[in-house]
Amino acid sequence: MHLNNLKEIVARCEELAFDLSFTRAREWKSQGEGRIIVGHLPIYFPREIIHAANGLAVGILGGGDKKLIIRGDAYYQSYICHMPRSIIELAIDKHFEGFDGFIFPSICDVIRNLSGMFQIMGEGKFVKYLDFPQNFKPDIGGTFYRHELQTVLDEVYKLNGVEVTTERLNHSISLFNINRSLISQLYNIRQEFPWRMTAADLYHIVRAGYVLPVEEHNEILTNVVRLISQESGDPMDKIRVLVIGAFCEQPPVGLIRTIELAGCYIVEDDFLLGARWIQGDIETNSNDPLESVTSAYLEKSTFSSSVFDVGNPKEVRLLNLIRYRKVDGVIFAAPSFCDPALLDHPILQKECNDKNIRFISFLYSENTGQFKVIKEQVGTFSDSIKLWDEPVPAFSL
Amino acid sequence: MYRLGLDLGSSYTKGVLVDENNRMTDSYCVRSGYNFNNAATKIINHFNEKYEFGYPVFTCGYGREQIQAPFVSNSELIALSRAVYEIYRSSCSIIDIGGQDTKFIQVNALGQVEKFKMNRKCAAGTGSFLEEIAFRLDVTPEEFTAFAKEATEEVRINSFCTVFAISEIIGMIKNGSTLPNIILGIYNSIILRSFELSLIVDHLVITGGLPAMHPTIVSLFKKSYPDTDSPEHSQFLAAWGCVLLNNERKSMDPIPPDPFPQQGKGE
Repeated sequence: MHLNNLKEIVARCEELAFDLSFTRAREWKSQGEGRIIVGHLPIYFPREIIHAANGLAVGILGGGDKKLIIRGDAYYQSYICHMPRSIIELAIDKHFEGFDGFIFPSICDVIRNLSGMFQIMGEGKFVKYLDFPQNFKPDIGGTFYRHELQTVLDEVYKLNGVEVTTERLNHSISLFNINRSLISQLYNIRQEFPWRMTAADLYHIVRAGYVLPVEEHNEILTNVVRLISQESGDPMDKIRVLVIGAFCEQPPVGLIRTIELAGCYIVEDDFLLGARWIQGDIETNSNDPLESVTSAYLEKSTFSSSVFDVGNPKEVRLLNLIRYRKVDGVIFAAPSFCDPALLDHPILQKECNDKNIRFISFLYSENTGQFKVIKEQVGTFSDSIKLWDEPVPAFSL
Repeated sequence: MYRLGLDLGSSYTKGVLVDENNRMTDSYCVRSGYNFNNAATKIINHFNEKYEFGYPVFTCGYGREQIQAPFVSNSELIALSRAVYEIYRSSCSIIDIGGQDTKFIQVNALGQVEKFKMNRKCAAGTGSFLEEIAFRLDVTPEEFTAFAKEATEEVRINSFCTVFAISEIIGMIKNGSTLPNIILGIYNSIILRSFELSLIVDHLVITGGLPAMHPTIVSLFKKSYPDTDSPEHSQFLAAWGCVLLNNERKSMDPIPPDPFPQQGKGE
């Protein structure tokens, strides 16, 4: 994408990010022999291994507010979150035609059930429920996880016959290392100068990477990093916030915009967490790169509600993030009926209370279209901090 | 020089003119309609005929940023709290019943917002609930109040949803319930919805358009909380608070340029 203007890049990324026909992925597949598309659900999937097998791993994040649910509601009870309904609706309406396989990471019962529905519906040529280890010992969880990844590669091999060599996988790992590093640079620049690019624009840019070949996304990110490294815009009188709870079902972009319009700069979030899951680089010159991918999951994963975390509790990691990003407050925004997120909130909120960190909490669903109340709540939160609060006090962990 | 506060609410836009001693000098209210800027312009033009006031104007409410005149926007909850504190100078609980939402605010002894809560998506228990039912029953707000005084017993409205509540009420009329008793039930339904949001700990202040148009509701609140009050001009308090709040801000966003340099300058 040869665009040098931030506005044009963001517009193109927005178009890509919400293209529910996955046009670019299909186009990419048609441009070479033996290419395959593998859809994966949130939160995290090591896209490197699909890339090394001449495939494109495409993130499936639901229909958001772009897809009217008509038949999807029939598949789920009223007390289940919204995202699986829109994914079923997309499947019924043939949006996933051309996809060869689907990966359902083990994050909750709803996603597990969705994998079963895809199997029954005969979507793609394979459907894999990918069990992530909850034991982080290399000889137990590591061995198990490596076996799970190998199963995925075996499925892909059956389709295109591509052998994932050491060289190929190391190359793919290096491309995704660059990708994560560039995204990290964007977040770091926004932390210092959040007025240079809105959180919604950043969201579109990162989300475009879920449906693009990594090489193309890296080119976009390189351009954006260059553009926002230059001074632009004026700082506004806004508080700095961290938004947490949205790691799976994505908030509507209107909600992200509402938070920033109501007097906040979002300087950290867990939207599209999968793109930033591995913290740092994965080894790129290993003789056993699949082992490197496995170890990275065990040793360099970020925290989330779907990961068992004894020994490295998420509430402590949240506090570290609050301190690192120098935020004034935390916004707990979780999808309605998201058990993992909502079960975590009391633990995380207690920690914020104990450390005198201001927070608010509300629920959304991917197709929420009414932001009046949320805007008033966030605006009050922001104004109360601006009017009466001292900066977040230093605290010891 | 006067200052102008505007509360651009989902149903009505309220404007107040505040003098140098922070007193509310005049007030004016128009329907918000579909264009907040039109509503704000009507109020600006109305005050422009009699007064000289300065810019920016101070805004709050749903349409607080949707005006073309130079403005500084504020949170409605904080503006409302500030105005209530200006009157009572003590901690209190506020229930504000507006056109499309109901808010609970706990204000501390320093006038700061300690806690707040708002109704979520549904408009049950708000002014819209009452407006819709009044429209279906063909009863004006004044008649509502008069009817409620004639009630002999309360009829309980069970439906949360406005649409279902109307069906329930029509069913009650068919079954012989009297209109005064039903209207008392409607008022009590609104009060119960507001209590669901609230943890009232001390002096209760009722604000918003509803108590202004339906004063009976304040006396019904008093049955549950005797220490209940609704100040004068309760519909205009948030607009007034916007102006008061401006004196306390540490900093301000850049003020957008005045697109109507000939308007509102008292020339």
